[in-house]
Amino acid sequence: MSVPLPSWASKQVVDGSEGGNNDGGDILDVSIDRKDYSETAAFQNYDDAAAIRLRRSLHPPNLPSIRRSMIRTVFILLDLSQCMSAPSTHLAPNMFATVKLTLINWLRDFLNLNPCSSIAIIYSNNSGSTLLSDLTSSLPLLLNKLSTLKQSQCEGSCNLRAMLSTVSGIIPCLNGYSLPEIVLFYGGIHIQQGLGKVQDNIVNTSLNIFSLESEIYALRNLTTMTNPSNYFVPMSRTHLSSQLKNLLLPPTCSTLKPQMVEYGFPTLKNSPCPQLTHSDTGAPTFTNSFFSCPKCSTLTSSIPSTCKTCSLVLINVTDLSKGYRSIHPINQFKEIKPSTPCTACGELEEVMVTCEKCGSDFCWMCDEVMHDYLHNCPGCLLEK
Amino acid sequence: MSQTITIVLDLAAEAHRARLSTVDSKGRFKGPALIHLHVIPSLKVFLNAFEAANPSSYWSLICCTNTKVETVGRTGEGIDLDAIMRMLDDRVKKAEVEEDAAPTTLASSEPKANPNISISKGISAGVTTAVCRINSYLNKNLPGGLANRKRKHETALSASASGADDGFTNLHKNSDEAKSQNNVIESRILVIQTGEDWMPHYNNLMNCAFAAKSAGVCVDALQLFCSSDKNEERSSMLSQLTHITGGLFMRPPTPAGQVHGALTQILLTVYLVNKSSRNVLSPVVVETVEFKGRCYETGNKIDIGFVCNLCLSVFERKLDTCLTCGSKV
Repeated sequence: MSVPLPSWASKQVVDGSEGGNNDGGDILDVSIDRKDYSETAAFQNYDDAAAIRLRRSLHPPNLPSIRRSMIRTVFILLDLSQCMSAPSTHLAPNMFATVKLTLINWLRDFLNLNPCSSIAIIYSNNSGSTLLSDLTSSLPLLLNKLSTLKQSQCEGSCNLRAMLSTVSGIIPCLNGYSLPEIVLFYGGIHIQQGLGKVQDNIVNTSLNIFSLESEIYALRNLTTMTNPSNYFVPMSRTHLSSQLKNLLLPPTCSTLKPQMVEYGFPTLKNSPCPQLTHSDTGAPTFTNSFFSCPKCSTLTSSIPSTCKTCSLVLINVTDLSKGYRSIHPINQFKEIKPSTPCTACGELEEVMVTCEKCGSDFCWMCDEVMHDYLHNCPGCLLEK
Repeated sequence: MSQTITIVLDLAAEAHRARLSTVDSKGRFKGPALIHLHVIPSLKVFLNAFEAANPSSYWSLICCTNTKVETVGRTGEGIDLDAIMRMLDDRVKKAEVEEDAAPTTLASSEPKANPNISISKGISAGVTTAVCRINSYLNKNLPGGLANRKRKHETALSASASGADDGFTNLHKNSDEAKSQNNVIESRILVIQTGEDWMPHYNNLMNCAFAAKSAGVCVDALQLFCSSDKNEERSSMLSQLTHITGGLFMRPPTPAGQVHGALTQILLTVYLVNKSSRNVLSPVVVETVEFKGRCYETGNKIDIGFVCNLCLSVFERKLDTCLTCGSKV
């Protein structure tokens, strides 16, 4: 994605002496001067017809039926070098705090929409690479690990090569039924070390790079070696959030080999007596509600997870149904002249739309709810 | 706090239920409950009690068949009985046409059996309409409606991640935070299903569940099953729907438990209480919620299955070719 460089892109890396006085644990709502992204305008006057039409235009077009990597494996690489803790005008108060908060919100949405997925977090500081969290689908575990990161850890320089080496060491151990994805948050304006042969090891991945400070030619060039790939340069916190939302949809992958993956569908049981169960945090806990592995009857406190005894992946069958939104999304509705009331709510609004499949008319409010939340068209669900 | 409740009443299996109705030796009706004779009068009592308990409340009644979804009642306008009877007549006539078209497989002295007339195919469309209606009502009272609720909790302070349960609980907590910040209306949906589950709409109903969950809308369910067979399955779709949204699921134990005031008692004692007050009462607790998968090939319920990594179809055995997307493994 080609983004014009802002005027502050040429400044030198701050040495961190002006660093903020918080460790990124609490993000305060600070006023952001650069509100130049159109999405903000779409929500300022919510009921205005122009804002309604602008929001509708932001919806993605009708998605083609194409092979996607539904069971996702994502590696999040974080740059925790000194420049991340420096004050930032476009990602206030600093890049570390902004990325951490945005990532927390994004992880919730991601695992909500892609529950059959696993995420690992790797960070780099002091020219080294550390695996913060191994591949897991447990949201509490990931958020717990992420909350342990402090701004005081932003020191030294980022070793991108070491982080990519860690990823390339894990990839051969994967089962091969998903396309490995890398999401890199890089705060510097140049890469200190060459990538060398690591580039060859990540060719069969999906690379998504967020250059937080400015566009870097070497990183953009890296994304041309992988497919699919994305290169983002966020201009504000809102822009970063909206760009991350693009990654919620499973990536397309025509070369992915079809496989049958074994899953267990345990039953939720409620017991008046607390039972000792395994949990993703590692320590066993006593709970009244638990899931029993259908293979070995080991008790687990939450799913999705992997059985500690037989390594069967345990998942809720309702979680699988979330994936169908990406496979069979509802089409975008077409705007029409207001003539008949909305089929769903009975209101006649200034902006009315119609579903071209079933011919039902809806108002803009129901259109937004159906496309953003429900992913259902009530007219299409009825028999003709 | 003001309340809204949207009732989704399924009319799809009325013909089948009328055929199964029986009377005892003393001439008393033994069930199952019929819509116009038992369910509507019970709902009227329930809605009167709801309005009395919540002065600033709003209710609406949506009826759904396999081909149509229509709002037949709301606060201030009452219940349109003519519209309900029209929908029932249409549905019964359609059921007769379906039965005439179905091949006769039983002896001539026995009634024809067509499974379609006992299946509720309009539930997912009804619940979708209910969520849209709630959003429309909230939008008038709270600009932004459901979107405003979600946006509030997206921008809310979420620095502390420790102690979080799972993603579902966090979303629900966040929507409760948004509620307390906005002093918004507590919304509920009550689904009354009179037929059997329609499994092809499972994903659609789960989409409704997730949407309701993220917006803090609680979905309760009442299953009025048809036959006298005590082994008739509990609706797995409804029990999952209520589990996800934190609602109550109940099924009267016998057809006789749906008539002669029993249904009214159930509605008043189980479903009248709002969600925030349920913590201090002893609500109905479902001991087990079944999350078993169903094989796309055989329709059997399975504990362990094989999932295609491209289309997420579930099978009970490892196939060489996925039957849904045609991919060769």
